[in-house]
Amino acid sequence: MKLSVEQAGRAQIAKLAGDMDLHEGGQLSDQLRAFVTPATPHLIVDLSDLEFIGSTGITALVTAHHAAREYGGSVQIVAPASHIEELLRLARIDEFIPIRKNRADALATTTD
Amino acid sequence: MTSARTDGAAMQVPSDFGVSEADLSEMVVPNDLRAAKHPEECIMRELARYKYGRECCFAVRLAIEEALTNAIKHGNNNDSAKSLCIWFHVSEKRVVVGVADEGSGFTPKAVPDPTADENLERPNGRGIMLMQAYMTKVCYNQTGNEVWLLKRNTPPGRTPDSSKRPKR
Repeated sequence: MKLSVEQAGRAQIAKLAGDMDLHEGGQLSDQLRAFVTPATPHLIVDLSDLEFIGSTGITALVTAHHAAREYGGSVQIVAPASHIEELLRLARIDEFIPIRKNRADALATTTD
Repeated sequence: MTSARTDGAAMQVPSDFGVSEADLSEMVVPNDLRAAKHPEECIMRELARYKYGRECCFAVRLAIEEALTNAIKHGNNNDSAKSLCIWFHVSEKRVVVGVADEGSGFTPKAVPDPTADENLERPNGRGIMLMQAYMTKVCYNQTGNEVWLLKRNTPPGRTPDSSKRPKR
């Protein structure tokens, strides 16, 4: 899996692409949490090119959500593939981590 | 092929899974997430050989990874000296996978529902729910240190086992 990150104002945009391997989910928690800081309390996770995620990947998203909330920020998910969106909605993750169609929609909520 | 688990107990493929012990291939791997990738890849290659659809392949891979992760982290307590035993059978009609660890077991029904309102924002605890949602059947042995997964092949375009998803 490839992980890239870029800053946009008070948000970090993390793009996950490819396949999240069995052992990668655990590392991802630390990586996503590190992107959330007092200066960048918002994390936008672009899943548009991610082909597989399991519960360890969901753990990473939830962990980042808790970190963002401590700084008054948020985590949002952008453009997951339909089968991944289905999994996230099944786990009710979308009820506290919004799923947006594109980065622009996500960024619009971070200009506070 | 031996039908014994690494701890010496006899493995028990559920009788309603449509396979017998003789139908199963067996692999023993060290208790390590990277090592566990090998049996997963073998099983997924078999799904490709039988031309399983994308939805089925995603569902099977998801359930296998949840079962392996639970066995490694919780069953074997991340102990690198321990092992996992994996059994599998793939045909055009069904996929059957068994995963056994060397732990003392647990009670699956005692695991909190991760989709309950009070548990939604917990970081962990979704593996069993995902296995149950995406597989045709999930069975644990009485001790709770062996899990069996059944996935019946479904035609492309139909969401598999969607009737089993937790209701919101």
